[in-house]
Amino acid sequence: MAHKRSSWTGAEPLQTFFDAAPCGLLSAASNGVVLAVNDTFLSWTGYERESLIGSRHFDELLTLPSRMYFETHYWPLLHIQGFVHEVALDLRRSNGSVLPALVSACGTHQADGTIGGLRYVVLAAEDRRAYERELLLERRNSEQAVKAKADFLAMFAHEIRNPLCAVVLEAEFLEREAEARGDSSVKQLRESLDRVLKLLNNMLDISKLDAGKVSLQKTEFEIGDVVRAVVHSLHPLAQARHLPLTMRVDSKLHRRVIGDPFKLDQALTNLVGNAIKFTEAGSVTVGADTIALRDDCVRVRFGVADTGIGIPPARQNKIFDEYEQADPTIGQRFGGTGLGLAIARKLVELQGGRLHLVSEPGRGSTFSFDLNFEPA
Amino acid sequence: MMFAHGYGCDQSMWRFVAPSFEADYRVILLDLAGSGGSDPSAYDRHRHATLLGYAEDMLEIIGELNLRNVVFVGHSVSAMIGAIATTLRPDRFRSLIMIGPSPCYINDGHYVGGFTRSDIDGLIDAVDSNYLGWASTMAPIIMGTPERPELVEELRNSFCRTHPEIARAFAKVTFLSDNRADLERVKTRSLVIQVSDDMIAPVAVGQYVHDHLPNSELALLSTRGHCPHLSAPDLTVGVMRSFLQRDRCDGS
Repeated sequence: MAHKRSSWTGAEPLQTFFDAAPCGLLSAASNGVVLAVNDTFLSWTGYERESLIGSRHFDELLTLPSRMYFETHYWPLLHIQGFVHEVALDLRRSNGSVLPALVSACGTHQADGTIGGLRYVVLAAEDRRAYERELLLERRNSEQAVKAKADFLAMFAHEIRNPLCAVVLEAEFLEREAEARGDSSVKQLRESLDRVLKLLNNMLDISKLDAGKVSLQKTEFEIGDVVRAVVHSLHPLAQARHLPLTMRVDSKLHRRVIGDPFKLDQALTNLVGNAIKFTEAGSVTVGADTIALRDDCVRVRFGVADTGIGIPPARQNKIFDEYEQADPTIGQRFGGTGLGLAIARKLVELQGGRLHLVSEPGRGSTFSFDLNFEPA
Repeated sequence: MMFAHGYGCDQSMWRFVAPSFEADYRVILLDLAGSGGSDPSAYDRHRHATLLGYAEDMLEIIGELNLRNVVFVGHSVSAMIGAIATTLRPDRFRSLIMIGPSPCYINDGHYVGGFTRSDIDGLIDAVDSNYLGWASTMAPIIMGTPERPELVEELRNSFCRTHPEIARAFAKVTFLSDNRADLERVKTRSLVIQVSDDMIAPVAVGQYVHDHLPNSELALLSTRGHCPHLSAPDLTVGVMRSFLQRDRCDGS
């Protein structure tokens, strides 16, 4: 130890440096009993040195919630990794007032790996913690406001949907009657109502997904059946835009798996519908390929590729967000609200995957995601 | 032997205890859903809104690994998770070792859990505050080295790897649950390891657990803190070994 002491070449004695350091310094035994404490800590907290040394544990100087945090988080981590950096804890001063602090600690490891002595550094963090509390409050308020708005939107959409469904049915009836007379004027009304209903359904889906009210329903199915059903249901839309819509399913996937075919169908339907909407010429292809086949797991990559308008690199991260489209004029050109991709992303994440995008403006986009299924 | 960690930690907290049993048992360490290095998609805020969801997770692991005669070692909240699991499938368990258990942290009439609702709110504030603190400390480092995502793993200590919302939800399910009624239903032979000076689970609580478990022993460790398996591993291993030896003798 002597040679280490001699490395101190400061002009002031080591003890003066220890006592006057601009932070609280404490040394404690492995059980937490305070062995030494500097003047800065004593002046910040108002304790007498004699009242701490040999009798008090460091955690006893904390407020009750901070003590709970210390016991459940700080102390275990300190023993596991040997140090903890800048954790926010509240110290109780001798007069009962609270000193918000950032507390770091390190321990000396013994031969058996357990902690020997402990050294604590305490930084007074009143201003910083006050800012943090404001931020926290601000965040909670905004989270509550967002939740209240989402709840209202969901309730609103739900309340409108039922009467709207009745109006759509009535419009379909009127359309059939009018068409029989050779009158196509009601068709536009019915199509507009369909769009409003679809928008409401999307809003309800998003709010349910956000509220965690959608859960996976596992059942046995064949992946090829889902892809075929998606292509079949969207074929009329592709045909109306004179676009070939093709599918490719890996032959190894002609087997039954366990998963949620309805959520997979909905995610793919949104992606394919989106691809058709943004493709004016060329084609749209849906693919499913096996990327891993084990006894306990089938990993499948799904891809939806189009030759559409593509998405500029700067906007690629944004388009998975709700109500976002790559360009504000897109809504006017192609219609829609930008909810489809957000729903697809959330549905893929619900099934344990991540939605990826590769896109080049003017050349097209490919959306892909990998999902694991249990073999049936 | 299955080891399940307590609130705020992960499986690394068993590092001084679990190796002592590797010669005699198949040792299984796990991170609870939403904690440590667990798969984020395994956490389900509805399923894990009660300890029952976590108990069902334990039974899924036991079923998946086809385990029988399980010695379940649970610290703190996991002690109660284990207790609930034994009531659901007693046939799978040989014994239950509970370190610092508490069936209810909130004071209720004559029952002294040790805390009030406002104490728990204060703890949740501390959890939130530390996520903010960590975020501001780590952001420059993480943002400055996007090509090295492993730094995030190194920097985020076990409790900060947990998503703040999950940490908050887990704090609530841990400290606001009342599972006192489950104790009477535990038929599995149990050991309650109680520390003489534990502010999270005081002696009176450990005594309550022992009194209400139909088939239990109480081991009082003369030490301090909520994690004797970290701060006094030799003592902890000692009482566990002695219980397991007696359990083996009685069972054979």
